[in-house]
Amino acid sequence: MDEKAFELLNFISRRNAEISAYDLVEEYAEYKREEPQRIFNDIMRYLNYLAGFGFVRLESRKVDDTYETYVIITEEGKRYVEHRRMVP
Amino acid sequence: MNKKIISYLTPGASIEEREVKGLKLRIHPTKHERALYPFSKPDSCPVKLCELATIDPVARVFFFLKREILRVPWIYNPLIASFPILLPYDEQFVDLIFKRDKSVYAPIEVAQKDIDSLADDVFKLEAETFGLFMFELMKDPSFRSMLTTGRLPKKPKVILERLDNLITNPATRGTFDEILRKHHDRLGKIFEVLLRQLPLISGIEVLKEAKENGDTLLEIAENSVQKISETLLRIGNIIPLSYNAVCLECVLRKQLAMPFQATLLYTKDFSLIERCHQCSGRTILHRINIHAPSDLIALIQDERLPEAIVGYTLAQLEDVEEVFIHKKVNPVINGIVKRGAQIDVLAITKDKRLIIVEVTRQSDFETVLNEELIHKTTLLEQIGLKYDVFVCVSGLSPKINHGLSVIKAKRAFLLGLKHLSELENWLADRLKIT
Repeated sequence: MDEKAFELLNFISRRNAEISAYDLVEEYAEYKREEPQRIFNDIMRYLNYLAGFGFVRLESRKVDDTYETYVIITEEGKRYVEHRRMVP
Repeated sequence: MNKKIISYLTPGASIEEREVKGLKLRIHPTKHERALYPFSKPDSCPVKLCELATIDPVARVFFFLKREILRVPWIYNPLIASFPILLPYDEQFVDLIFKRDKSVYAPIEVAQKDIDSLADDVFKLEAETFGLFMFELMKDPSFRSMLTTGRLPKKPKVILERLDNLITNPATRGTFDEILRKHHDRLGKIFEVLLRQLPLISGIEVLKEAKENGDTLLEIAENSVQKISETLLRIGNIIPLSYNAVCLECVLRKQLAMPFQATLLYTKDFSLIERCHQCSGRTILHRINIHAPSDLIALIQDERLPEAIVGYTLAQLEDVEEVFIHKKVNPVINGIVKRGAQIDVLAITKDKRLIIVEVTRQSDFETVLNEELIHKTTLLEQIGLKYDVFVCVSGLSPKINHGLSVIKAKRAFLLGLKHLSELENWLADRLKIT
């Protein structure tokens, strides 16, 4: 597991709520004290990587006439974070 | 890079104002602006793809085709857009597959069973190997004493060394070799399912889409597979592509034990296989996989790439002065900023005419007409955003949409993929008479 992607998964699990990928970038950038545009592409890459493991679900929703990806942590994702907390 | 295109405005900072025939427009970045940032870099993949799409109608249409989004746990390219394509094929045979005719469908059922039992087979394999290993280890007194005393060695290294002694010892080596041989043999069957059955089943699931995609590409490429191959080669020079081809006639009609299948990974030397190298059949199911670089991920998953492609196409027109891609636009009427709307592509001509384009990959006529064209033109009317031409560019098949659907009173036009391939010409003609 890529450590930076895991760090993002950890952040998502603490929020534990569905969120637009775009809002997530803004929140995560604030948390990491980074410029959102600088980390945007990496976050998109990590989200898809995490979805490849089945740890998050990326759902395309139509909001205000336009498609937007929503991020939802799965039970497997929550279990993985829990497991990693116990076994660093 | 085309300077007429305004694709990225700094979120939270930039607002552009334009005046079009007495109507003032305030143009804002949207929530999705960050995805558009790569368009401000001339050498980025999205810019190169859009530039290719402006000169190559097959490439333009390609990104409107039906595709699946696959996500894989690979950190460099985790998003794959997979396009199933069926090029010239035996229609009677493909009909039999659609009808699930017994004469061709038996191998699909077998493949499906193999895939359904894949997870169980892997577990069984691992459990058996682990059990046989344990059985052999327990014959060794030092391992048995660990169980009886309940005391583990202080370091795992001790166990590993003991294990290494057992495996390399000529007296016991044969037994471990036998366990591994059995393991590899069963693993081979699992790989066979992954490599052969999985592409077949996943292909059959999207056969209808593959047929529609193939028909569309052939129509646009004037029935030339060579032209399609050349376009894919150009796309492959910009972004990593992989390619898979399965001969459905080998698998389903002739039911060969070794059916033809080809896979190319990350290739720049690309050519679609037209005839099966095994049975000479022509019903080959192709899959073109685009491994999205990170600056393309959001553009693909949120459908911004088709909007940008249309925007770049419009910017080619001599009459067009500026093109905004995916922006929120508020009309300002009598000094009052009215409610705004998200506009996929907004073009302003040199003589200040306003072209609004709604872009969708949707291919169902009713949905495109009601949920895209009528819905959007009604909204624009409500907020007072007056345009000269409204165009809805959709994924409607070139075959079922030869005629233009027009709502004359609204100056609104519904276009399909055939029109997309010649959009600049169509719009140039339209501007002459509007």
